[in-house]
Amino acid sequence: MTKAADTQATGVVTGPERAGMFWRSLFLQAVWNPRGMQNVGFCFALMPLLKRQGDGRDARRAFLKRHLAFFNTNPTLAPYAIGAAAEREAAGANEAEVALAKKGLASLLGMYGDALMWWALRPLAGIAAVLLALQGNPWAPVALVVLYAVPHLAMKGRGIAVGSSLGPSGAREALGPGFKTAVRAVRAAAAFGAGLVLAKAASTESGSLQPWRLVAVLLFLVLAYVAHRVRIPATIVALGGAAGGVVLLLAGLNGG
Amino acid sequence: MTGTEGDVSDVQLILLLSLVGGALSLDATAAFQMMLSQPLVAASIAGLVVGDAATGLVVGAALQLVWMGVLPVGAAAFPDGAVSGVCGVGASVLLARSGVPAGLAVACGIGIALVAGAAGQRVTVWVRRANVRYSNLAEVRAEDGDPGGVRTAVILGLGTRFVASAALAAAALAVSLLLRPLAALRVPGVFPTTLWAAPIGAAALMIKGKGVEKYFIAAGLVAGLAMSFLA
Repeated sequence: MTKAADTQATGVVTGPERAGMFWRSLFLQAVWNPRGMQNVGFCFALMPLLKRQGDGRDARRAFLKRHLAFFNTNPTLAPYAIGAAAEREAAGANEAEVALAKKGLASLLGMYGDALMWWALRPLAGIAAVLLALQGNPWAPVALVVLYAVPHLAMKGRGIAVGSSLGPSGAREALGPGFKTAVRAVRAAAAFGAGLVLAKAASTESGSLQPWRLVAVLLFLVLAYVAHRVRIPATIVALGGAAGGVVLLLAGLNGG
Repeated sequence: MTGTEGDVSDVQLILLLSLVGGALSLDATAAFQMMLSQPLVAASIAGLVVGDAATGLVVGAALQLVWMGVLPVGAAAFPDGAVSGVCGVGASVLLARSGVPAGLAVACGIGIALVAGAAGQRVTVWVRRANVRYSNLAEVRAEDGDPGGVRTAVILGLGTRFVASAALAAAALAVSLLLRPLAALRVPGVFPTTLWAAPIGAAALMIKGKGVEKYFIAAGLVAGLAMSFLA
């Protein structure tokens, strides 16, 4: 279906429209729901393009309905799809083309974004911050936020810029061939950091190693691994660990 | 319910921390997603609010390690890290100022935090059901070409998330006051947080990893032990 206001919808996405989409993309999941998932957030992010539809009720209704359709992807990379949909709208593409652009990018961005942000960068930021916190460094929470939020916001901004200028194909290419290598490197760094935290747990506050603590740490590690493997809920595993800590406290074996 | 320390009563402290928890929980999925809702950040902010930054770091670090295996991906309902972090510190401080030994207060705080975080999973399911109604509202008004429904839905979604998490935090902190009789116990010493939380975090990375994580964890452990040995 070609939009009624095709003559007003042609052209390129403007700077203010990009800025508006970036800000609104931060609320992509404000109305996350099991039926449409990010549908309302996606439509909200594209609102700066609504004025291109003019005042016609039918054109505005069609615009709102096609962007209130089901949508779900990784929120950090979602702006690539938001930008690409905006580029298609500005180019006067029909409803099917816009839907194809969104659908084609959603699964790809979800797969890449979850791997990088949730499975790699978040653990790394968390472990780095924990290492600082264990040294009593008050900047630990700031480090966590900066390590994650700076790349998160940068990718969101780049997603809007690339998607709205190059369209769906440009958004796909922008993810780049080095993406998987970067994910592996970040995950390895997070795991190495987790090993450092284990060593820290086996040492006193002054940094000297205590053999009984190392044995306790390794025992807890085996128990936690087995508990995860047999799918005991994470909360139960954590409460079990904390109960173990209480036993050590009551036994007079103290330490952080 | 009055505090034994300072001018701020327990009720005032609970209300203040609940607002902080509700606001930070927005960051988990509803807005920004800048990791302000991670337990370490939430607990540190709560620590500053209650004037005990050290407890904020200790409780936050332990909960952050537990949260290594928690991923807010797709349709999964996940524990509320912001409420957990805020309640962990809040309950620890509320109990400590009631006379509960410091180590035991932190242990109770972390227990309350874990239960509150898990309850947050149920709250998230409820919030998402409410969001279906807000999505319907946006779609109905869209039929008339009215974009106002989308804006209203976003505001309602954010508001519901805030109120639900704040209420959960208030309830969890209020429940923690029931543990005040523990003040009669005499348990000296520090609750060992990292000792059990670090293995849980490392195990989560191994389980959710691609197989190579265990080698890097082992390398980090050896490197850390070598540094301790040399120290």
